[in-house]
Amino acid sequence: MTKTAPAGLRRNIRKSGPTSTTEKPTSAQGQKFNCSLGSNLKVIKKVLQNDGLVIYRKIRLATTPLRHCYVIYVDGMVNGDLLNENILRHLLNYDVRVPAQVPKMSFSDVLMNRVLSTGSVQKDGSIDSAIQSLLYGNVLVLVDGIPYAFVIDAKGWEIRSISDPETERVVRGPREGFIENILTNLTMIRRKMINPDLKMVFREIGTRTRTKICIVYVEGIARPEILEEVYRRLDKVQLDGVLEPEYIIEFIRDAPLSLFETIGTTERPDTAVGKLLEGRIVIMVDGSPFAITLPYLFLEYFQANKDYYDNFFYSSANRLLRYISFFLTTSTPAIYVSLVNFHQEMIPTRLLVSIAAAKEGVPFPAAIEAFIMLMAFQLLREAGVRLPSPVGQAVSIVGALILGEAAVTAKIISAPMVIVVALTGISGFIVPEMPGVSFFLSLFFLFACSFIGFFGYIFAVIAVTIHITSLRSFGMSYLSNLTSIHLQELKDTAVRAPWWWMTYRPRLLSRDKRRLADPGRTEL
Amino acid sequence: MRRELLSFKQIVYLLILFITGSTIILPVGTEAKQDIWAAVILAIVMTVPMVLVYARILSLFPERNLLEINEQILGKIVGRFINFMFAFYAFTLCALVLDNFGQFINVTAMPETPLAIPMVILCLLALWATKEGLEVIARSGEIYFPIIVFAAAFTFLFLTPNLNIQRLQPPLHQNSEGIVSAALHLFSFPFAETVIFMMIIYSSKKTKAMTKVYLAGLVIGGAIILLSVTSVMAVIGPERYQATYFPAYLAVQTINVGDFLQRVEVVVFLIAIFAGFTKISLCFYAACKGFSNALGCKEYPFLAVPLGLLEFLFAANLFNNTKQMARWASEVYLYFAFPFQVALPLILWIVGEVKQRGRQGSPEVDLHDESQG
Repeated sequence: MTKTAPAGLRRNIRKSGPTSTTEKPTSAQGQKFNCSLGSNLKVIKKVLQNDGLVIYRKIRLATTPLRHCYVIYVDGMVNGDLLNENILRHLLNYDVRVPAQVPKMSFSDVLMNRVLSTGSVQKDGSIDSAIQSLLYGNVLVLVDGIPYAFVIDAKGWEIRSISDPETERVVRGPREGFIENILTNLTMIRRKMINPDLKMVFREIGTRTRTKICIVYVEGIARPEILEEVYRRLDKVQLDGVLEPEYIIEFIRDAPLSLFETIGTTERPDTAVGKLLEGRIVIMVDGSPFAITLPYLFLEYFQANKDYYDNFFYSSANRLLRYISFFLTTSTPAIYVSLVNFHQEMIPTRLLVSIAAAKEGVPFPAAIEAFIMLMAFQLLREAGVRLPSPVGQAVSIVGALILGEAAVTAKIISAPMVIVVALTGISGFIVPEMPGVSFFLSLFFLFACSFIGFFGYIFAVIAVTIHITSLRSFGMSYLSNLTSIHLQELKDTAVRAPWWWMTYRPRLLSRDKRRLADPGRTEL
Repeated sequence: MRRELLSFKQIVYLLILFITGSTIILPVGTEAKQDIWAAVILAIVMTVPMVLVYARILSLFPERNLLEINEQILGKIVGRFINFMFAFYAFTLCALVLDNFGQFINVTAMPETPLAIPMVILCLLALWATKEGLEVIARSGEIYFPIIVFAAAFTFLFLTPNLNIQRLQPPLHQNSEGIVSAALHLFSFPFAETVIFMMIIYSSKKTKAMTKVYLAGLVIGGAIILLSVTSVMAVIGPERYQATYFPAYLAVQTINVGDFLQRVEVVVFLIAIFAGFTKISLCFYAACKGFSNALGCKEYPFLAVPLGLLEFLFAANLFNNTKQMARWASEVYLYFAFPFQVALPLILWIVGEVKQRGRQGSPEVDLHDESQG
């Protein structure tokens, strides 16, 4: 049977051979493995030509009749120990002529069941998908006379070790952050929620990079409509490469041109699990330590994960502080400019005199001054972020000296303006997730105020309100928790209530609304 | 057509913002002098039956707003003509409020800035809000409401040292004519203007909710007006109240807390702009809806831009000066608004009751109508 079949098939391959050279090298689309080892190998080698990392190891199997097999893998992407000990060694040593315990077993079954002693071995008949899995770090074993490849999971490449998440540090709370490997990230989530309701659905996105993404949700809490919407939108993504979640986010988010983010990201597994428990959906993207969380509501800008780990009085105070600093960072320059330019009567006289004294000799109007200083602050911030930390410190010292002290003494900027911009900048750091939003908003407000004072400010606020209330994130109103005065919802919006008091999950977000079986705390 | 559903709370907030909207900046009920509080109470009492009529009409035809009800009970041609009139009323009201705020900003804060600047900005914002839909207006209202309540409470608190109860004396002394006249004006502006809401909202399955919504909005909004005009009157007295275009502004100017917090009137009235904007956008939304219905169109947003520009031109050329505006408000508006606020709703109510009675008599017709809706 093995001797007659290949001839015809070989001819087929040869016929398709010349045509395939005229096409692109990766033209194994739709081709199947046949029984001839040589022709299979030829196709694979043609597809993978000029790929120096792929290693082909030829082994003679101790069988009658004599057969050859090829072990193919990508150098550096497989676990060497596993490859040597459990695959190569067994293939070399196992004598198939020794009568098997179960005589009815076919040769391939013997290989699968008695020789290849690894966790996952699968048969794959399609050359295309076999090459896919080869490039993803699996080992292919091709055997003469068997019309499919054995795909053995022996992935093992170098990964960064789990470390403190840089962007979301906390004083108290877990210290691990996601890394670039999707499997490690998923195990981090899984370890935090040992429950069969936690579902993980894999997808591939990127016609060229074929990046693995994983949609994680908790069945029974996440709303199925939102989940369906996520799938629907992901299906429409037509990208050739995905290197970071932002690539996907910009495709699937609502209001793609809005300044406000309607999809969140996090680097922390505990935050991701917290969001899962609120009924949100998390999408992990291979190759990035950031997970996508959605739907994302405006309030989440102000909810830091450390709120849930600290004493709730302290957390509530911090949260209020964040709301105030959002107001300060967006509005301080605008309010200062309108006070100084248009509504001097509101400033107490003594203060007005000292401001006027400070402004004496400064050539610019207050609005221009504020604009210059805001831009300078942004320059400094950006320079500090990009540079390595020792140089970054130098930048900040130079910036502080020149922009603060020197600019005031040189009468380029008035001293109160330095205070105003410093306040704007510092408050901006308190809500770190929205640097872009607060900067643009502060410029917008400043612009509006520089023409008609406070009235401009109020018109700008109305404009922002109209925009922000019209936003939606996956069918949910962007402000859905903010505009309500439900006591139940204020527990995790305006303040952070104690855990034993937050009986319900966010109202519109989740299906199973009850968080605690018994409200209140059992008396000790 | 996509139905825009508002919650009970949202409608009440909108009603309150609508009622307080431009009322708190303008000199309302000047004829009543020191008895202005009595005039406000009388006006509220007068409005209650009218509001019950509005609510009843909406309840008679669930899932339908005034425009659709008109079309249903008056026939296509007459109904659309009436709708056109209502839309024109909303359009005019919107222009009036725009003009009020334009004049207010112009007179109090920026005499050198052209009147058109704040008006065109407000108009564009209202246009944008209308294009985004009623839910956006309602949700913005939900944001503005607590801010306004907070600001009003603080203003009142800071005004208490300046309140002089003697300015409200003698109470109810040979002033019944003035009180009634002031109450009539207050009835037409702002309370019965809530007729605009009939063009926007519709009753859902729970028919009683309409009455509750309207009454809650009227009573809370009325209470805020009562508190504000009475305290303004107690601060500046009837003579100055009559003499100025924007008495509340004058009253808030007197706030002085420890020589530090003073001259905060701009901030206070900035917040009044929130309410005014809500009123403007609601009127504009109603006008868009009404005109699109009168033209026989299912969708309204395409009308927003042309109508918005027209609105601005209309508002900008409505009056030559603030004096004219004040005269129109005190002498003409009452009669202009009467057909829309009282006459037409009463007729509609009677026709509606008769038609609904007839429908209940014959179930076949009922079935037929249901299938149409």
